[in-house]
Amino acid sequence: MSRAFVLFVVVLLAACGRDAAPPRSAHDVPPAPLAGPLTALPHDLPVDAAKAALGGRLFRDKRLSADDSVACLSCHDLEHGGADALRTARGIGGQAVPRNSPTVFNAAMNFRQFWDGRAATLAEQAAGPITSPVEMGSKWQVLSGKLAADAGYRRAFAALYSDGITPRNVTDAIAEFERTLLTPDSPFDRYLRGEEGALSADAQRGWRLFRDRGCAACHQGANVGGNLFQVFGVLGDYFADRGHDDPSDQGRFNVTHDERDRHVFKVPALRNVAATAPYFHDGSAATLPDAVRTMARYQLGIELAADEVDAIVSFLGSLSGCYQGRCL
Amino acid sequence: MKLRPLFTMRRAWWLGLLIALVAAGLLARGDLRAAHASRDAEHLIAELIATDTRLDAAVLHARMASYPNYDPMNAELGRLAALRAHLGARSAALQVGDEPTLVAALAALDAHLGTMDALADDFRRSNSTAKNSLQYFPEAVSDVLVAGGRDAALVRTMLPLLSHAMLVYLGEPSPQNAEKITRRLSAIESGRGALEAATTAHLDLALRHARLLLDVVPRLEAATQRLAETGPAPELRQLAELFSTLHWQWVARVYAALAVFAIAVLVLAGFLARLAQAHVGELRLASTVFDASPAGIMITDPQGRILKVNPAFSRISGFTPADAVGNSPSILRSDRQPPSFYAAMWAAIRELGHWSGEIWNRRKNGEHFPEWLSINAVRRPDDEEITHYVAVFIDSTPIHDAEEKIRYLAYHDALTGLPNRRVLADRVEQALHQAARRREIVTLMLIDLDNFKNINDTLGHLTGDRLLVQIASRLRESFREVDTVCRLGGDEFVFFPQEVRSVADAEHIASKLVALIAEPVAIDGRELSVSASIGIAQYPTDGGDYDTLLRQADAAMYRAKRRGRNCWSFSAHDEDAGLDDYVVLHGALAHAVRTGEGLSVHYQPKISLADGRVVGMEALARWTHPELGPVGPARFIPIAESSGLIVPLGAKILMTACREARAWDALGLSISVNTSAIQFRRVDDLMASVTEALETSGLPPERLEIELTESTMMDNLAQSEDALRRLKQRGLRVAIDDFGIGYSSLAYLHWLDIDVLKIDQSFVRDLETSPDAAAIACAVIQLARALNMETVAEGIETAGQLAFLKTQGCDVGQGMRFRAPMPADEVPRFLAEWQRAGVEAEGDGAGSISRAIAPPRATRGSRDIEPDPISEELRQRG
Repeated sequence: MSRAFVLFVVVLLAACGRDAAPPRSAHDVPPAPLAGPLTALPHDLPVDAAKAALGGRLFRDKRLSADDSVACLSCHDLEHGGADALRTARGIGGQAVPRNSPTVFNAAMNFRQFWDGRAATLAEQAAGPITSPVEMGSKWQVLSGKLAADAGYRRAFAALYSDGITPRNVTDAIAEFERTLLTPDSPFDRYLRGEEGALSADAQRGWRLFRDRGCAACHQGANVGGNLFQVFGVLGDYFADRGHDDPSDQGRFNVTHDERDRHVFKVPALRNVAATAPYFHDGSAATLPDAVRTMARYQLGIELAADEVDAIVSFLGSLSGCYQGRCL
Repeated sequence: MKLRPLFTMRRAWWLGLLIALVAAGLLARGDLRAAHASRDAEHLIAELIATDTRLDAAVLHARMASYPNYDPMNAELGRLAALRAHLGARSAALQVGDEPTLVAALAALDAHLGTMDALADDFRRSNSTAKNSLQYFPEAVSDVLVAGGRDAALVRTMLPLLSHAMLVYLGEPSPQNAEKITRRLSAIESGRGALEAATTAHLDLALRHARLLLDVVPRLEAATQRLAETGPAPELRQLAELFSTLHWQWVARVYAALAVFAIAVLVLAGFLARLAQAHVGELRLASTVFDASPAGIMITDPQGRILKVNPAFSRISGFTPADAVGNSPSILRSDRQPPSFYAAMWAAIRELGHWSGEIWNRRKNGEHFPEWLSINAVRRPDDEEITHYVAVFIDSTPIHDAEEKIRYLAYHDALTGLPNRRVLADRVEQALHQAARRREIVTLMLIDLDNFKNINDTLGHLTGDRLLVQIASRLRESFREVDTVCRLGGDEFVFFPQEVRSVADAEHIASKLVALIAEPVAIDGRELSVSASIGIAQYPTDGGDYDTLLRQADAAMYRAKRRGRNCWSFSAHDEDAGLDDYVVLHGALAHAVRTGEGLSVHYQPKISLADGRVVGMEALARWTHPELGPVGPARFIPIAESSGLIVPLGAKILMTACREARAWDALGLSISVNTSAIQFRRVDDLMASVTEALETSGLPPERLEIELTESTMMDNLAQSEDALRRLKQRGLRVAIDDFGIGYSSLAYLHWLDIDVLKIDQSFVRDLETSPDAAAIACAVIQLARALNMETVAEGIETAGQLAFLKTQGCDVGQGMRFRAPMPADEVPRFLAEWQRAGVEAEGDGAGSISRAIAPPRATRGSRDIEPDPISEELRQRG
């Protein structure tokens, strides 16, 4: 009897003992409400280090693709600005992916993922390329089997997740790893933090032009973009001038099918932009000066003078930060 | 051998018991968890509401900042989504994910959050585009003009018009204003071919920006308003209340599960009692259960004398074993049950050997408490003779408390604890029923806090809620128990006093309520004060049922609001009884406007500060009520405005002023006439009365000046623009009254071609005491000078004010320092005296300005008392 009573009490107490994890997002530390247009990148985001380590391993693992030829890292090279040097990406079997690989650095700071914002979270994003036939071409069932064959993965997943190797947990771990891929301490960030000499006179002039010519109306925030959608071609028809208009050019329209979202893209973040050529969703701008001129023309309706372009490019160069002590 | 079958039976019992216990435990566990989860959920919702408020601030900042940053608003949106996800998890933990009310409330929340996301998208996009186009549109326009576009007539005339229309549109993106832009756009396009290629490129860019703004601005306005002003989503409040109710339901369930457990213990105890007589060996076990049981156990002999009680018995009842043993169980007896109840109970025990049910007993300290009780008769196996009675009970107070709380929630407002609408309706209906028989009055007062929304919007909803709670408790504490104070919702309360015997009684209570609410409330070390508007409805005058009375009280409350808030108003019968100021004055005023009786115009001189000349007069309406005597403009103008009488009244004043101004032709004095917003809204009527007044009187139009307040002008720019243009075309001068307290844009002043700015009296009054007021007055004077306008300072009273304004270069002054407003027939004498005083002053060698320094009478008698700084200065200079 007393044992039963004790049992009952224990059960009751157990009911009281559960704890709610506090909500957590990339924006756990909201920027000061009266921040200027651009703010410095945080040095780190809160992460579960064990999951991030597991995610790092998965990120580099080519077994995530159907023919063991492509890893996440293949297109998001941490040595190459977190992207690849190609105009548009290559998937398994050398297949062409119709869009330029965006950088994985600071992706955790974006409000949505992909050019068209179709993924709300990093984990949701990670699932995309893994199963996309032209990118990594995996089937979850097969992939789970391949991972489960590896004793190291088996142990790691069992230790970190109650339900072991599942698609959700794989993408969760990768997302956790991606939250560690920040590139703080760029010259511009140091300048923002008060180090006047961190920015050359030319870059400072570029920063003022960038702000006052209206670039900063969209490219703002800690990630210098990545936090809103905008039409490509506010003041000119970029697609007509380029000569063709493909499905991958429809942008957000492909997600919402709302006419107002045609040619609307996530404004790309400009962190490390100097290291992530070529530019735009179609990779059509080979160099940064090209990209700056095109943006000025189609988004602002202005033609920049050559020295203005140079100054802005110099400013954009100051947005390259450092990852694990190595500066991009 | 003999023990074995018994042992097997024992095992079966044990197993059964264990299963019952575990089942009860699991049941309680689930519900306890649910109770926790719902409490948790309430906190999540509070956090959601707080986040919602922070989002408002972030959106407004992104909108107002010269350079937007969307991270703060995105962070709040992300937090909203995360909190929503957690709320979902909590609801799942509650195992009531499918509770229909909850499903509906969560779906409403999802819809709300989805809308917020879409609006945020629209906001960010249009905000960025608008900011850039606002910068580039004027640049492109001036590029066209610089690029030689000045030669093309089209460009010269239409582009500034387009820019103008665009500015009006930015102030008010209405379809009419958009239409104006579209018209100008197509006019410009039609003449575009006449331009040179280089100019065309600039022009096209200007037009593209104009079109972008046309598209983006209304979207931006709509998104900003809906994002930043939705306030506490009703969806969130509904959820908060729902979870609060659910919480207590689950608490009740926890106790129900505990009761199941207790019943298991009761059964066990009964079983053990039987077992005890069957087998001595079980006594040890029985005694363990006896001591450890959470249920109280009492064993008596057949005569009902207590033999033994357990620790739980003492804990619950307060009687120690020493108190109880040897006594009768009647020491526990409360008088809540009648003797017949006990007779029936004992009959059941004797016949069935068993009774169970809920009963109210008394603790040692005299407190009554409910318990669930089970009594078993223990019989000897051989002769069925009763040897003992075993009573097992648990304290059911917590279950009663939980039930009480649930009942309370059903009839009370969750925030303030005041009775809710349901209780009020019930009490009023009862009172009405009684009043019909006894021929009594029933009074209902609807209280609405004035501008409470502002507190919510500026200080957050948590502060607003705390304020409501404090006001509620103040109301509750200030009246008798029998008077009902209830909260209808939002910032609406109803006071339902008893024994109100007359209208005067009700007035007394209403004024007490107004004063009570107006007292400041301290919240977080900050003093807040709100006022209230109260509407009173009474049975039988205003209606015979609750709904009608409430509706009447509501209408009366709105009347109180219209009267300027912080006051009370009766329902319709108030007007019949002739108590209403409004009704009395309105009737008489209508009569006065029709016949002209009692209406007159007084004139206050306007003095040039440079040379002391009288340059004009301001016409001021005066009204004398046949019985009440003079009624101030502050009292009758609002009545005229709200009743529409202002239009004929304004026309009358205008006519009189123009006619009487003819008498001052020799001096060429101008006459200024005030106009109200309503007259401005009816431009055609205004223009007709202006034309009529000018034509009938023969006054030259340039001597008539129309004054309108800054807020009138800004309230509806498009209309003001139109009216002002027509007045200017007619040759009139236009003055902006009370300038400095509104928020005019400089550009508008310039565009609208204003002639005069009148510095608001409040700044003039504070000139010598407040550096801010002085700074504003200076700024207005500088501004007027830069825009080539004249400045008039109103309400000059002291020499210091005059000196200051004079040094700052203010053109004209007006006020008691010179002369109070006077009737028309006193004007000639004033003008003569003024001129004479000026001549005398000149003879003194003090210069003509000294006339301006003191009224003529004073100038004559007491100049030498204390020299004014200016006259001193002039004396020295002269």
